[in-house]
Amino acid sequence: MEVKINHLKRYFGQTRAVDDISFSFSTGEIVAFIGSNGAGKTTTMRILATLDEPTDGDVELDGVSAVNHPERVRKLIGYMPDSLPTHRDMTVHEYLDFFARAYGIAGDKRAQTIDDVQSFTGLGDIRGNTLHSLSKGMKQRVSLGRALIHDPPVMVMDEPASGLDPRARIELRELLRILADQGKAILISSHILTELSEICGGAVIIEQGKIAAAGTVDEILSQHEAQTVLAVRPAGDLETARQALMLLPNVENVAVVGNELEARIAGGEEEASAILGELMQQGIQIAEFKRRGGDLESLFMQITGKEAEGEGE
Amino acid sequence: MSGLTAWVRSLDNRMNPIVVKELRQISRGKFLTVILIGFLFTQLTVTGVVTFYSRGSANPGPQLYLALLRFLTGICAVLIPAYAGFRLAKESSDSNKDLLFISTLKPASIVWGKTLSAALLAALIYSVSMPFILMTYILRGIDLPSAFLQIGLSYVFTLAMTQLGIMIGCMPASRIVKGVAGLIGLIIMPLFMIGSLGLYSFTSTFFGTVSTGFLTAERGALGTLGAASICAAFAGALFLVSRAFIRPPASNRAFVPRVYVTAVWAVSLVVVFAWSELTYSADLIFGWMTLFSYAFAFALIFSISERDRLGARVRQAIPLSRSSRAAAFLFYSGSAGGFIWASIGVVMTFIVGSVAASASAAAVSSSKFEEQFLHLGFTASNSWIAAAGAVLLQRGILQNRVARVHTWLISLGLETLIGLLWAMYMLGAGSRLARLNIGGMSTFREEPPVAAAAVIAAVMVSFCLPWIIRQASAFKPLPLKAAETQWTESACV
Repeated sequence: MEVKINHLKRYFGQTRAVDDISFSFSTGEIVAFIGSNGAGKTTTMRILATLDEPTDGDVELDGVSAVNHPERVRKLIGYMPDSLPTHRDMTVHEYLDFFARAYGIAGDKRAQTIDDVQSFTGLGDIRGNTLHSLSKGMKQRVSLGRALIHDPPVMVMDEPASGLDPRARIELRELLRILADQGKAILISSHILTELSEICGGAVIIEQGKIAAAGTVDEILSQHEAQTVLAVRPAGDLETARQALMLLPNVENVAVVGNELEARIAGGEEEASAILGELMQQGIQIAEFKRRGGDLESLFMQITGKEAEGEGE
Repeated sequence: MSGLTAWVRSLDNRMNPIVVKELRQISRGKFLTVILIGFLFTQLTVTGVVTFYSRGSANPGPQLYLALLRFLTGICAVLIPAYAGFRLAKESSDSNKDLLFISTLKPASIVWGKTLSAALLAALIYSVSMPFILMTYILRGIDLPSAFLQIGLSYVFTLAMTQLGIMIGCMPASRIVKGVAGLIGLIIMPLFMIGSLGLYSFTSTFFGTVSTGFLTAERGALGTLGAASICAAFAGALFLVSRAFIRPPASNRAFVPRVYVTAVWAVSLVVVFAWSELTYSADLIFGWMTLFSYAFAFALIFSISERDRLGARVRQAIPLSRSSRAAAFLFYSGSAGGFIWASIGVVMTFIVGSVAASASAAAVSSSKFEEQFLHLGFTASNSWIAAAGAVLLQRGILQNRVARVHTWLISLGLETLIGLLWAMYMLGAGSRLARLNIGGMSTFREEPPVAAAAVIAAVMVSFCLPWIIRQASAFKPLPLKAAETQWTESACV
């Protein structure tokens, strides 16, 4: 199953919520959809889920257009919104039962499917609870269960980890891994980028309705020359260490922050290691060091920061 | 036992999911309890009050019966549509659309499920009220078959009103607009349904007596059948429009409603003509003309909100031959096609209605024709001005401010403005001012400036010609796939 987003545009009056974006992902892939608030993530995902119609462009699932044939696309997509909508009075079981019926699952198969989904998402113990009595984490589980009820090959998940406690996040991460192993294509948006980078093979960074970067995480990091910050706390004189650090190759900038030196370096782990080795050889004693960056979070900050600067100019 | 279990399971699988969900929610919520207790309490009160005031009457039964029937009809025809419409509006709002709309449930199933669950709710309320209403039989003066018939028709009327509530709930508009549309609809629709076909006298008779063998009278039976048919035809149209509202925008969603309205137009013409032959009265034909003139005028206002550029899905279904394509242009989705279809509908209603009235056995005075033409011509002209003006505004200077789907709002605004301007013009008509009954409708009916309105309408429509021609020229099948499709609804889904 291949999902292609082709020159998608969505305008609300003068506002260009999504402005000509294209990317694709396919079976077994987990792709992170990253962007700041209002960047166009939710709008794109709603179009993918056929909840909204684009101003122009299209989304295709194995060649089936979401604009022209949304009914066919709905069978293929499981959409998990950022919050569970209405149906306050229904129990968890009734809610899943309703959607199983809505997707045309009948008879014993329906009962079996609901049991499987409740078991997979850990909802078995609360199947008789009404939706409004559930915690945020449990509601997210119900939402995931609903999205999975018709066993779609494509999952679109909008902020599934928001409001979850650390334990629930870890459990969600594991569930996503299992779903990807089952061959589902997953597009997931989240603000918690450190977690996304652990499970996502690909990433799409969107800023102000346009794609700032797209590809596998490694590709994006190498394409955008992701900067790494090496923080060093010398045991001896700070100024001597700063001057030594500035003269080393791949070091672009050194700033003093408290009793630490923060060096912005070109490259990643290897370059940082070489710089530390060189400092030691020059007799600089190092009490503590840390490497930051070279991951989705820093890349996102770097890209969106540049975008913001560009806007300012 | 196993056979029964299998049957129950089969029934369970066949049940509309929306009905299952709605009934579960209704039975769990407080709404139903409050309504049922409220009904019981109010009916007890009404029974007490009417019995007290009619204690000197020889036949207190009919009085109490009619009071309870009016109360039941009045409350149910407002409450149930409002409840069904509100719930649907909440679920289908753009900002928080319910996920059932992206399940594989068909739009017709969704609307049917909502209708059926509202019908069951209404049936529950009616069945709670039935003992009170039928208990009046023991007070004498009640013809039971007539009473059942009246209650049945009251139920059908409630269902037609419920369909209106559901249609408003499905409308692509904000909650405020839906609320206003609901309030207007609750007032206008009953008047439209009853008044347009000259059923005032029938309605007053219907809700005015139950004791004189109403059912057996020819007028009562035919009137009941007529009223039920009108309710059903309206409900059918509203059902199809509701379905069209929630179908994907890329689909050919205008096709079925337009075919339905055209078919009802033709069939009802035959019926009213036959009726005029039987009764030697053309009143029903004139009522028919009024009804369909207004219906097409409404269609004119709303069709311009459709898309100007058709997507691949509709274009794949456009027939190849020129004649079929011309007909398809009128019936398929598309703003200009809808504008032309509604315009033809208005004109044909005038022409065919006049021919039918002239050809009927009824004697029709020329003043009656003149009055009809002035009234309907004026209404139609104003609708053309409003619709064409809205097209020019939305496709021009308001393109980035008002979404195309909301063009009908501009049109309604213009219609109101035009009505006010004509009223001001007529009230300020110099020497006649002193003789005018200010605010009286007779003033407007006497001499509406039909000619002026028609000229302005013609000018406005002519400004829209490039918009119409552009869409007509673009109404062509997709090069490769068109040959495989035919002009059928199955090809249009």
